[in-house]
Amino acid sequence: MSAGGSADGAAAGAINSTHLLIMGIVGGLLCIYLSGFLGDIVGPVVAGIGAVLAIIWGADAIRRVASYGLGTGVPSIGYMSLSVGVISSLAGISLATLLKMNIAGPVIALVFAIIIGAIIALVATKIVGMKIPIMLQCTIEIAGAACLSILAFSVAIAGSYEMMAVYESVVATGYIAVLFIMCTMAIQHPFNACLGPNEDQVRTLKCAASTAFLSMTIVGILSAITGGYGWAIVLIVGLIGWVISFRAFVQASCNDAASTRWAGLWPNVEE
Amino acid sequence: MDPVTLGVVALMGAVATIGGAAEDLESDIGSQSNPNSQVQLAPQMGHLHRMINKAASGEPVAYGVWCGVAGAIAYIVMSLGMMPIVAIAMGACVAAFVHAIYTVTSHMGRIVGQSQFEQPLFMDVLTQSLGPIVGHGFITSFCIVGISYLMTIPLNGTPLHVFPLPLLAMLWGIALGAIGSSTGDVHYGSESEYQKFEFGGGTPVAIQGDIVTKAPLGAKNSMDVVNFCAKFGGPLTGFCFGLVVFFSFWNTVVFGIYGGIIVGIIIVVLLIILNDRLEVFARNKYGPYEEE
Repeated sequence: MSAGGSADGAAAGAINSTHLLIMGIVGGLLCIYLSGFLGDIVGPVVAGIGAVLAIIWGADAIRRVASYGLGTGVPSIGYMSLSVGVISSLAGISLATLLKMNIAGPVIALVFAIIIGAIIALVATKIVGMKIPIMLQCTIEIAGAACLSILAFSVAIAGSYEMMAVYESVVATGYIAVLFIMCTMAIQHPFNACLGPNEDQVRTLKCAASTAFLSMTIVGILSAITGGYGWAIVLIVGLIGWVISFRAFVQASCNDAASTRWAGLWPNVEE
Repeated sequence: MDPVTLGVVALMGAVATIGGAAEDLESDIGSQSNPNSQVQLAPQMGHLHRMINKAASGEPVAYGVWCGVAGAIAYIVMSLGMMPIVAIAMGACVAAFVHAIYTVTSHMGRIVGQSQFEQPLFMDVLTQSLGPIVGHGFITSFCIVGISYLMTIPLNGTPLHVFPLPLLAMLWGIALGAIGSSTGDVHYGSESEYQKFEFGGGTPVAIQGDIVTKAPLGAKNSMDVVNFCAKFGGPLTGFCFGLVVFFSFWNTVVFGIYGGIIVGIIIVVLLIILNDRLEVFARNKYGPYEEE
């Protein structure tokens, strides 16, 4: 058996992956657009929640592709897709600025992510020869989730999805690098942490929610200067979300464990 | 040559040495290095254990996150007018919390993912290892953000590097993770975990997870691994990373930009020759590895 997860190929789960996909794309985009209309206080919070939805979608996509036994490749595909996310989100809002239609920025960014993700997946399957049937779909999904999560967190920090605002508050300050690596971790960590023959989709997604809200909390602190008064609310909402999801994950882990002990040795089991 | 800049570069090398040593030891407690991380396979191989299994991705990504977060928080606290050393400590503190949370989720997730093999979730193992893991992580992020900050302050008008602090901290975090994962891995506790196999054979995939789970007294735990590694693996990693940081800047500070590039190439060539001599010596002295 591979260390990378269940050996039976595509991972089934209690929650339909199509629903998560719709939640990630529609929820993520909607939150990014809504944040522009909601002002300095509520806007960043809504953008942060959009990023959380995108991260949960991305974590589920990682779970599906990595169930084919990626093993140590789980962080790698996360890394790769998040770099696509950074490039496409910046390229998308830049192109929108050049075309003088800022409103289209997030959608163009998502389209870029889908195109670059598809090219990478085709290289991986046709040229490198990786034999994973859902590689194309999952790489596109992870790249899309990466793009939306980075864009939504950037909007939470900059307060707008216009290129100049994002450039000044997120790129020039170097936060873009932190968002890149933090979203990489948040998207790839849940499945990488929970993998094994007894991995469970709901438990993994609880972990994904906790890593996403933790990232949102950090983003709240990072927007303390540029994000208006909304930063404190992003921080508080992120913390509350993190406490709830982390508690749910720990409880699910304790319930699903073979046994939970505070001392002593392991039981005697016939080998 | 400017003596103040040279002094700062030497300080950076020393700080990087401490940070590198702490990084390697942290990853050894958490069984993060590969194939140390294959402790996850132990229950499948019939060995239930009391080790920490903290595979929060590979070390480069993980340290990119801790150091990047610490650098970003330090940057923002400094922009609010706080003293740099306090700001860096606050950043490292937040990064330590993040580190602790990721450690808990990855240990619990991996152990519960093996529950069909009756591997218990030992909460005392988690609580007793969390302090040393987070403490070493704090030292590392503090050191990395510290050297990144030293790179950004203008000495005699020009800083050593033009990137903003969060970006530098993340890049040096990834560099340190990569060095801890490669240099530190030559001596990382697997010698002790796989002691029942003949020394010198490496850790082939077939034996991964087939670890020793008992110590001279009671169960073997992750503290035993770090005690073992603190003697050689940790300091060696620190030394390597300290030299990398020092030689990244020393040559340009002393010899100027073009002279520095030439000296840098000479250093790389010397290292290649040195490595080659060492390997030839070791192969002649101990002979090739023979399959039984």
